[in-house]
Amino acid sequence: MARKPIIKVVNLAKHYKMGPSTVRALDKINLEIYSGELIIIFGQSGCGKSTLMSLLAGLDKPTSGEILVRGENLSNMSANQLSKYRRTKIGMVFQQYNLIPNMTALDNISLPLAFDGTSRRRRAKRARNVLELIGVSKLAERTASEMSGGQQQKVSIARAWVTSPWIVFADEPTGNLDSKSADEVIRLIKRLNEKSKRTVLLITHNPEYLSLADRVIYLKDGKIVRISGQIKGASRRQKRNELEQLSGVGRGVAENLFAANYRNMLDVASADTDELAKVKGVTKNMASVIKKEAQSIMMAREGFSEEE
Amino acid sequence: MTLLDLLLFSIASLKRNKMRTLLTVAGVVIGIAAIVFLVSLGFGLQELVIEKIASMKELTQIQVDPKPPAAKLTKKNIIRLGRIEGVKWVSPSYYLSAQMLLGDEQIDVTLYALNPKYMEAEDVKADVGKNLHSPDAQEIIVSRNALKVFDLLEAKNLVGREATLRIYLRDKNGNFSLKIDDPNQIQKFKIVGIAKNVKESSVYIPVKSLDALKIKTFDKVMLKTTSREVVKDVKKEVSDMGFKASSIRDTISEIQRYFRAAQIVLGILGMIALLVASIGIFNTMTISLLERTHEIGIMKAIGATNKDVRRMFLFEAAQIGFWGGFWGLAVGWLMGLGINFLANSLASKFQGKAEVIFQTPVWFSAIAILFALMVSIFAGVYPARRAGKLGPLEAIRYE
Repeated sequence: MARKPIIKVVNLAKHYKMGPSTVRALDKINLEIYSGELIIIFGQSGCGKSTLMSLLAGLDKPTSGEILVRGENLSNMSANQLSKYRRTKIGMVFQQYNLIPNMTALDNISLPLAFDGTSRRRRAKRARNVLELIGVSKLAERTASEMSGGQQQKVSIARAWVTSPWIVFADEPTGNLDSKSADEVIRLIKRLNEKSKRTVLLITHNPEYLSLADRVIYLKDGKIVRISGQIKGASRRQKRNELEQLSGVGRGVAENLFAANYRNMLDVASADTDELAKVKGVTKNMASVIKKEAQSIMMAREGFSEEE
Repeated sequence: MTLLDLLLFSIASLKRNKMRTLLTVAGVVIGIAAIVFLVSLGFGLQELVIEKIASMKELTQIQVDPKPPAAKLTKKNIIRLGRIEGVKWVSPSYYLSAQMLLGDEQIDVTLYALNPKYMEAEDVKADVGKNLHSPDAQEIIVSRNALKVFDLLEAKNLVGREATLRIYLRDKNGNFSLKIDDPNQIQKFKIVGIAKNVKESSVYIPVKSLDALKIKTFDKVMLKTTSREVVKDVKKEVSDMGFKASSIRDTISEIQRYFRAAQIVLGILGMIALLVASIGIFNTMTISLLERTHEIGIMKAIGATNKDVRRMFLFEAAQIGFWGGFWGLAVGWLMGLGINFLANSLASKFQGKAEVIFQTPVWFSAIAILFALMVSIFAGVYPARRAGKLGPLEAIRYE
């Protein structure tokens, strides 16, 4: 199934002048990211991953090359168009949480909607919905100083999600958190990615999270050293194995499901039964059984990742 | 962003550093209070002077003087003057010399023949007895000075008594002739009132009493208009007829010009204080900009436009201006009120007349607040522009 990338990066470069020498923060970056993917950009600090994110988020201009978001070139956008892109098409999660200190969680979350001119009532409702989705409704009226780091990060994730963006960028979201909170935040991002099918670009230097990603992009010294390849393959095998958990689904059927774009439990759980039955090796009866099973597995997973 | 959001956001940010906001607002309060206080003094003094010159009634009067040889105030012309649109009544007046015989006494007086309605307007009031009311009655009002020869205490008894006037006419050169050629020159009148405020020895009689004397032209004519608004039009028409028209308004506008100049000087003194306050606003907004650079970066990263950020800052400056203007007006106004009160209580202690020294017209109050708003917004423009232009990435990295 031929899909169009949501983000296409062509020969992207970012060079900084530092006195007489030029620092090549990013060089010859070519990349395609597809809708719904959870991508991890992995590398040591200084490898250019934050620079890449700034460019993709339209916060900075590349030295050369192009970034096409759904076919639109970011370089051709005016400052106002970039602002609109940032508040409607993307969401951002930062290492420092970056909540506005004197505002409540609710006001922070509704801020992008405020910039977009949404009415106060509607954005309060949206913000509350997102808080509930994330399972931290009780934080609604707290300000940043009244929340732990993990809580602040969850609120900032809610802020990124509130506009239903195409892509969410998360730059080292666990960098300032203890391991328990970090774990919660990462699982939250993963869950939201699966549930809402939003594309997520996660920047990290923590190899523990690599298994969560659909694809991993390895950056080193401003260049992509490995992209998808084996990683994508490994991920595919893992997903297929996941589908093999379903009763009556053997390795062959799992392959067929994957080929028909049912890549994980969520895809099966949210599939149309009739469509599912069209996959080779899946009977109509079996389709409804595995769908129900996938749904209960998903529910168990979501419950597991819900706030204790 | 909606205007309501901008307003609420600006209130929230101003609340974050209450002390600094209050001090900045206080600067504007002092500036506006100084302006309001000083200019109110100007307004008050102006009103005081104008009030002394003219009662409200007189503002609707036009004095018509002849311009010989062409424009003479003949009866025919006076009727024409009375027909001008907006004229309520006309009062031709004529002055003569006369001898008043009262009992055994003879007194030389100046005789003013006029329309009784004009008495009121001229502010000649009978303090004892009553004013002239009927244009046809053979009644007179006598000034107290004319009665000096009598015991003042007797003034009351004089009301109702009959006096004989020997009226001396003017010749062609305007000199009085002491000859009595016409029996109509001696007439009997009833004294109906005595006027205290008139300095000269004078007697007022209804102009109709002179009809028999066949006076051809009058000295001047007073026109009363229906309202203050038509004075200008009526004046123009009178001038077009060839007469000289003047009104107390001319004098008042002259005085107003002087006071306007005085108010501007007083206002400028107050403005110096406001100028200092505007530097305070500039300072506060610039510090606020530096403090919030990181925050501005966040806002831009999550989608605020340059315009959003710029307007947020401008709204903050405007808020400072508005509240500074509002409270400055209140303080300046209360200070004036306080001094009015003090002056009046002092005046009443020494049996003086209570006067309003400070006056703050509503339109000036509105201008004061508007002015504070404008100055503040102006002081906020540069910091707001800087905030708007901040690059999101540099701003967000700024700690």
